[in-house]
Amino acid sequence: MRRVGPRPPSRREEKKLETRERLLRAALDLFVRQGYAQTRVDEIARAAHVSRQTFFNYFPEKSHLLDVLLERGDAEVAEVLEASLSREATTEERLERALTELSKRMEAAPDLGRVIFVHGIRRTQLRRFSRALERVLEAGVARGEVRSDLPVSFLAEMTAGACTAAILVWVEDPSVPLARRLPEAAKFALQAAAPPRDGGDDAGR
Amino acid sequence: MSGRREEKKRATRRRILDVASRLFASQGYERTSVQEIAAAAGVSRQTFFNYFPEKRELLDRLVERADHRFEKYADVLARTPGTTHERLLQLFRDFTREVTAQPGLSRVLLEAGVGGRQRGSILPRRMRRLVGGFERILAAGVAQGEVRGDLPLTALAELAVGAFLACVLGWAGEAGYPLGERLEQAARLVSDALAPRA
Repeated sequence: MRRVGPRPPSRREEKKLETRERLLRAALDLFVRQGYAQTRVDEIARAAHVSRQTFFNYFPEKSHLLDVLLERGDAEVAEVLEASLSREATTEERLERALTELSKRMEAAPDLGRVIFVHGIRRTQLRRFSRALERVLEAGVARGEVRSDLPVSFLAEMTAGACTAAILVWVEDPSVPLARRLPEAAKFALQAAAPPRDGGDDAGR
Repeated sequence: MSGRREEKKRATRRRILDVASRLFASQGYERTSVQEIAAAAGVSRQTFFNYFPEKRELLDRLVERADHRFEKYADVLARTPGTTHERLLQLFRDFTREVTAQPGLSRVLLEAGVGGRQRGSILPRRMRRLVGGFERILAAGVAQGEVRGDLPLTALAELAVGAFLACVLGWAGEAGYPLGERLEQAARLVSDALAPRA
């Protein structure tokens, strides 16, 4: 048998990936419908048409499924924020565009948002969110739009906190669209993170 | 049913809760068994389950207690004379004092909302109450003309909560985190942003 160049995934590997994805989808569906704690491994295995033993070959513990789902969500958030840096724009425009995009995705799949933010909000997650925001705010410091008298990490944490609060309030009461709430929360956080207005000597500008 | 009996029941309930709160604080929620709580409260396991069918109900009640206290506290603070900045500072200082006085319990109660894999669904409700408390404090500031009225009160409260959470989570995640100092910075930052725009 010949193999040339980068090996395409073998049939068997492909099937493994497929099964893994199927388990993740089944788990997400069940977590959303009945809650993480109330979902048993047996149910996930059955919904994904695999045996209990096969399940454990892929995910030694139920919590690993949640970890993967949460990491994917976080990676998506980081990616959207990162993408905002590639274009010339003010920090406010960047945050507004990125958070509007994320809001739309969450509103399109509100249940996913629910799982991620209701079952998953943890320190590590908030930290990952604030790291991604930090990159945008750092660029803002260079542009003179973000204050430099306080650590950017702190400003990013505060912004992440405000966004998280907005998302959770939306989960509890979805009557006001997230696509309006989230950019608003970020915009206001950014005003707090702007260079202090007093004390500047070229106030007349 | 006689009043005496009702009163006794309430006292037992309170005792179980107090004992649980102490044990959770000193050894953590997971590591505390129902057996231990019952023994320390001087009741049988069976009696315990008559009051609280599950261990997690204790945590729910303790969280409820803490959140209710916060709401009442926010109401009082909103009526206390002073500026919004002073009120936020006072809130953050009182909070720091309480957390430093009983770090174990504070962590448990915080985890109940934040780490909550098993107990996730209470988080949005807790957040709603927290934001609600801040809204009342800021509403007083709007009435005094020192908090901007051009943005919805909820957005303003969310920022305050966000800043507060950032500090509290920082503290929970890292030993030696200067909670008091960070909260003072947060209060200043938030107050600046709350001021009416010219």
